[in-house]
Amino acid sequence: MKLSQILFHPFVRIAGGTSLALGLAAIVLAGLIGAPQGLHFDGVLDTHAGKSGPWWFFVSEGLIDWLSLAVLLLIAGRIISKTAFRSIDLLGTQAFARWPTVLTVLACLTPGFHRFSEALTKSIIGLKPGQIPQLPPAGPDAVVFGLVTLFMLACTVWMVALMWKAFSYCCNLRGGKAVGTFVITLLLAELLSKVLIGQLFKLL
Amino acid sequence: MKRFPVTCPSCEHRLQVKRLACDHCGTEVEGIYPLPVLAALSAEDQAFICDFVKASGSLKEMAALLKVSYPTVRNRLDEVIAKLQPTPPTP
Repeated sequence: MKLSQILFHPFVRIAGGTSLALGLAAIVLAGLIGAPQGLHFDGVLDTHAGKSGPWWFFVSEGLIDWLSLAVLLLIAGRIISKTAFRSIDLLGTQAFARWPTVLTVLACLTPGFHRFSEALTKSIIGLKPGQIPQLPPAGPDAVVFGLVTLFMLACTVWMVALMWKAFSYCCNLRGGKAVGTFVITLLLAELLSKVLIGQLFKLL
Repeated sequence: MKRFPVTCPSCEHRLQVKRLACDHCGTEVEGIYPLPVLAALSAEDQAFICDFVKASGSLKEMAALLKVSYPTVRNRLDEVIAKLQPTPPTP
């Protein structure tokens, strides 16, 4: 198996129950590592540094993100796919596609990232309209923050690429119609996950 | 090993059987017979179908045999099914 296949097309060999177990493990792990840092996956595509909280809240965010997209893609796949695909393959591979979030939470453990993030947030919060923010001084923390942010962005792009591959491969779909369906479903799932996680916040 | 030709090397149209012979008594029959559908598939596709039948049509068993995922086998089967669909006659 080539490296590019492992990174971007693991579903040639991994699907079904195996991908579901690995994907759920990755979602739980990302939530457990992210909880003490206050790193929220508060939307299918979102990663934000905020307040820390109970571990179950962070794990639930990951599970909501996964289910929002997986269930909507399952419905879309059943409508447009002509092949008899298994639900567990789509649900499992969509869970597995979220494994780059583990790398994101690990990258955020880099010393200086949260220090700079907090300083940046403080400089922006409480600004009056028209007021220029006093940004934290550029230094090693700023460099770390910049590099980690770029890495997080790359992980998000990689995750979306895996989500698309999982959808097109499990439902055996190609072409413009499949891409359009995926993009619209992804946007709907982002909206749905935001609403559901908003409801989850009320439990805190 | 000689490969059974299924397409014309000149125009790439599907070949037909013109002559059949009995290697026991030497009788020869001549005519134009279309190739059986499965014989027109590539050797890889035929091997896939043989494995599929041996696995009692279980895609799960095929996936375990070939050490690939279930969707990989499912998509491969879809490819073969598409090849077995009758092609519309060319004008």
